Amino acid sequence: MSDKQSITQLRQRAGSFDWGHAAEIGDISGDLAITGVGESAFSGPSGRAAVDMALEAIGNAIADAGLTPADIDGLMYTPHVADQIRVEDFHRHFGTSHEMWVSERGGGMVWAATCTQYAAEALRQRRARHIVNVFSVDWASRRAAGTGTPGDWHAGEAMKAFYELPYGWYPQPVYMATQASRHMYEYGTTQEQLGELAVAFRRHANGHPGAVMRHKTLSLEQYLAKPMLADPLRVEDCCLISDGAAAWVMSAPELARDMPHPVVELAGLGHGIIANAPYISQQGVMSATPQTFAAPWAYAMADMSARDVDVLELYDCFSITALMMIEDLGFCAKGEGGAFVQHNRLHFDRPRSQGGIPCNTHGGLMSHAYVLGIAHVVELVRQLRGEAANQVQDARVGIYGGFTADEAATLILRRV
Amino acid sequence: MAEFGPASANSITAPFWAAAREHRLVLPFDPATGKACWYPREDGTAYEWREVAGNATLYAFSVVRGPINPLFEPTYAPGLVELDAVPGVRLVTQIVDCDVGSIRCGMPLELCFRELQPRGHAAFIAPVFRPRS
Repeated sequence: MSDKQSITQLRQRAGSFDWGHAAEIGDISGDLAITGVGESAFSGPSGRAAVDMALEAIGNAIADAGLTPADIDGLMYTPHVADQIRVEDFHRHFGTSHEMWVSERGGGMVWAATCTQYAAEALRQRRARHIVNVFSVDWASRRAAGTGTPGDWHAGEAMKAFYELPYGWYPQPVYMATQASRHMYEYGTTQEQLGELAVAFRRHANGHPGAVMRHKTLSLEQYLAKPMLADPLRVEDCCLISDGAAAWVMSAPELARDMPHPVVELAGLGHGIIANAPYISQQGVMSATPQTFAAPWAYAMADMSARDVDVLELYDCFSITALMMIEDLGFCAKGEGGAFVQHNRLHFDRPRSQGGIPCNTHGGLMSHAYVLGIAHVVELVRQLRGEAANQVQDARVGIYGGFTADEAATLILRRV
Repeated sequence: MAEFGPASANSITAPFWAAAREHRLVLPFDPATGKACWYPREDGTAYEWREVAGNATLYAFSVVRGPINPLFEPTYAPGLVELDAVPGVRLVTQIVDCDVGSIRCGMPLELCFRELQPRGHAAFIAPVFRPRS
């Protein structure tokens, strides 16, 4: 294994910014492999409990890794979203009772990337050999039942409740529509260009057997004929609301070589946070994302640049979010994302060798399922193994771009 | 929905809404630095709430046209404005008194006051902004 870079070296390579910063993450390049991936069914309101979907996904991930439940000695989930599984659920479902290393720094969104630093540490310290990260949501069922919405956290936060909600600046589509207005003002980005993302992601969902929108096509003409939801965004620019779960197994690299699939390992990780977090209304530059701070750190750790990346799975809660992250990850100059995404550049069958950068090859949050990024990583692993439904030619390096508005994370994976 | 702004008695929010009832816009300043603190934090700072001038520039906005907000009927225009006299402060507000189709980032605005009536809540007076005359 190559010499590790110090925090000082990583900090110097990543640079500094005046409206946010990168978390200081030690060099963990090559320190873990993703050896198994699994999913539940994805759907609208299913009536299924989030815990049951999580256990289905975990079972599939363990089988994919060629392991048994007794081999899993680490579990990561988040306590910040309701109804995630606990160790007791794992043992009850699989009939096991062994000791497990447990971390609440797992889950979806940004955590789907940042969980790797804690998993890598646990693997290195031999506190675990095979760690599952899992995330599940039943928000489609909850919305149908009137028992919860994705905006609940924002509505309960004090400054937002006192200074933002009274004006109707809420929920998330309004936040991102506002960001989009600024991007359009500064850079001339157009509705047609936002539509290119919606159309590309929908096409990928149409070719993906697990996607919620697999049977619904969308052309740019159809997109432009849809009504505005919150200017300049249409419903088609927004994520779905879904039920579903996904999970994956992270193993020590020396174990991964003897497991069933081609080895997909961690190459780089970055985590960016805006100043004034969590208040995106106060974000210094609203036409960008905290991927601005995360990406340079991840590239420095991986000793790579955007030129080395074959496939992108970006947290597309909204079309504008994915567009801004494409810029902030360095795939084009800042502000040129609108023109860049045209000409099918994000489609899976236009690889880097043809000037493209395939993006959200399963359909993303907008057309696959809104499971908050956990399925993005599953799709990325399948792309790098060469077994994806919409397979990108010669995909060897890929990025998951995680996002929670005030934070973003860059996870770079590579096939060894 | 949890506690809601204009009804609050919280020390870092009540002065803003009490002043609004008198058609004044006040912001919290840190007496030690003389700088506006936005958003204020409950960290023990004894903020000085000073009235500020109401000319502003529109930073970003949306026009909400679909039923996505449980509190407000479409169509309305929430926006983020930067006060010309207080650099670094960005207020969430609404843009009023204009055709929503004419709203543009960068447009000059001026302060005014309106009664807002969110569904299920008491009406309240809020500082809002309109195109500068």
